[in-house]
Amino acid sequence: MVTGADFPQLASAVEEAGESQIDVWDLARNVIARDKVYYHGHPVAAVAAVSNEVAQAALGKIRVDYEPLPPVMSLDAAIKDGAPVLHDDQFTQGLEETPKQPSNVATVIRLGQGDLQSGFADAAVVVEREFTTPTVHQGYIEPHAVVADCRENDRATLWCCTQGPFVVRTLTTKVLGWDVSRLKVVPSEIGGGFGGKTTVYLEPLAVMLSRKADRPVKMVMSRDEVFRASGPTSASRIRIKMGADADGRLIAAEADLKYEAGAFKGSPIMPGCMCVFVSYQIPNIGITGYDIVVNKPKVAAYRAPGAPMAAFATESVIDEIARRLEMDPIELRLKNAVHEGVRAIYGPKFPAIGFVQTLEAARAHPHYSAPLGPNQGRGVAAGFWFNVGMSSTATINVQEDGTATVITASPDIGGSRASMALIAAEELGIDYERVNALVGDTESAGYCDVTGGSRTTFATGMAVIQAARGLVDQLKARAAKKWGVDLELVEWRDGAAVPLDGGTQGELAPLSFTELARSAAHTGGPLSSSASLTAQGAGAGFGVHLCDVEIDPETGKVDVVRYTAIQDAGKAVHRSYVEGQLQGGAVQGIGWALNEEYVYDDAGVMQNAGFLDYRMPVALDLPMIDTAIVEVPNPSHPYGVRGVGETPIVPPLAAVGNAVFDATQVRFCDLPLSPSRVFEGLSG
Amino acid sequence: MGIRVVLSGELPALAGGAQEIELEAADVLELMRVLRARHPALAAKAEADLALAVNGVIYQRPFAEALPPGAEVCFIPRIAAG
Repeated sequence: MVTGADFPQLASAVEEAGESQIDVWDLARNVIARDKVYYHGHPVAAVAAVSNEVAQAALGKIRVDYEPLPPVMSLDAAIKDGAPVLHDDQFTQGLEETPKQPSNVATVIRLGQGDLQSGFADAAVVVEREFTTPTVHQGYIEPHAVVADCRENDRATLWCCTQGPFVVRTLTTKVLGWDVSRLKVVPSEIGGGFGGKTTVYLEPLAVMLSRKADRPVKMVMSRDEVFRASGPTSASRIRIKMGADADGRLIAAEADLKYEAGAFKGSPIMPGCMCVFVSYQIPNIGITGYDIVVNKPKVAAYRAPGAPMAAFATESVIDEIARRLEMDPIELRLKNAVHEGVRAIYGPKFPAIGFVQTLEAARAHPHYSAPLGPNQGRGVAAGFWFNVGMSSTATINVQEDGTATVITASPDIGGSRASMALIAAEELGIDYERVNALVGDTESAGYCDVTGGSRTTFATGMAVIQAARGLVDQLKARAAKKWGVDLELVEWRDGAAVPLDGGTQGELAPLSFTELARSAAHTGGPLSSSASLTAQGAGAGFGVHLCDVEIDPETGKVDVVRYTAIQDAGKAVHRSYVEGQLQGGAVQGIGWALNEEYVYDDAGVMQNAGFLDYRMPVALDLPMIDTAIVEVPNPSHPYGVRGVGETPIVPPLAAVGNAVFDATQVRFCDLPLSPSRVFEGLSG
Repeated sequence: MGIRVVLSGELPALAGGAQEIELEAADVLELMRVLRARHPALAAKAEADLALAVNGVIYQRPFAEALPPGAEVCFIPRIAAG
């Protein structure tokens, strides 16, 4: 058995860990409680045994002395006067003066520009509303699972499903107080992550149990445990006020965003603030964000963290402004859309982006002008996500049969192995079928950050491009030596070294990739090329979604009857996988809009910790999600690639909400739009 | 032609209230050297947890990238994503 006492006490310190910075002491206490349990589901002990039955019996013999405290289960409860304070040492950051009393508000963020007061004074129409979204989970099909083997001289091997083996290594060893070299992490195939598998829960516990038992230890969360003990994303409360002139130009916008962090600080409030008005040119802006702790699981990243809730609020208000002005909602967005050269609220001017082109594609799509039936309505909403680059390594090994193996440590969640193989095949000029892409572990592959941030095809793909181009240089050099000509007189064309015209080169036949691969041992040794980089210049992604719903007026049930997701991909390397990302993001967002929420009782115990009661949409619930890919190249990538994985979850919440308004003329500001809520709204 | 550093959010407070800083730097290394000397609080914040945008192109982990003459540089929060 292990408890918190088996793990080192760590100093509270924000450290670089994979893609983000974390407080390692918060992480360690989230993995296993020390003297305070912060939420129902927070581990207090871990037991390993020779069978499940023995382990269950052992768990039954553990006695924990709890002193129950009143749980803080909502944003309102966390910030009201006299609220129980979760952390005595948490003092609100971001205020002009550091407060003397601890608070559940971890951080306050302020962004702004212009003069809000005069902006609103000049507006012909002003809309102000408050929106709430519930705690929702990423809902990956495969639960967290890990095997740890710590029998080898104080070293350990971990097999786990993760979005990044190197980040698991970093975080696990931080919790254990180990050097990274003591841990090897082998990523398994992964049944979904969506950001929720960029951190650790079971991994340090399994290593410590294996070390104590001197045997391999396997731990698998049940679905119930996944809900209760792994990170959902924040519930939110967002007040938005926007003003436009009579021509539909947005001139003032104010937002107050409150996000739940769970038990420890660190909600995605910063990206929420950065995204809330990012899609539009608005001269006068004021944004305030609050990161607030509550007695729920520590939130984890979830696909475009913080952006969907912000877009729900903004895009709903934009819809209302368009209706007040009797303007087409896409026309209003086009009138205000950001484009290259416009300064974003968070600082820089946009380089080449495709929001305008995406809006125009949505307006031209047949869906937008299709007739609607009875009780049906249509909604439009837009979404933005930054996308990131970060670090990646790729190695390409050439086999003697003329095939190539691409090795990276980027777990394949959305089809990235196919994209890596396509990129390598493109660069080498060989058939896609002759490239095999693999995912390596932390000791056999070079460093890669997580598969997250919509970065893998962009950044790891860029490493594959560089490795392949290095390999082509080697292949050309081998051919030049064989032919006895200068390297400058050899070019690589259609998968072969070709002698350039001139001198005797015309008498030489091209040497194919396969021929050079076969003869590698006799021309200098195996052919292999690696590239490591920190990819810069990730291109922002914009999406526009069209949603048709049909309302059952007798029950309030909302059915999505047609849905189209349109997005700028920069360059779609593998079109059907890009479409899959658009479809998957749309479906997750629709679930967020219509069905999903954590339901707690008064004691802070989740009441619906299973897929029967936590209702995610399945194929039978939804129509085919249509897609349209816009390609405005990212100038910072050799092919123009932008990340695509996260943007598509941003528009659906508002697209569904706006469609429901169109059908009912009732503005629902609280998600989910469950039948009971819609029925009550329709009943006045 | 100098480099223009544009500050937003909480950052002007770390640079004596300045919303823009003009300086000479050929690359990010030199930029940070200058900022460490002139605005140490801003430089410390930037090195701890900020990304950099050069003429709108975001460098999540900037190091020694060249700065073209007349470039506009913005510090922005590093984005952690899903």
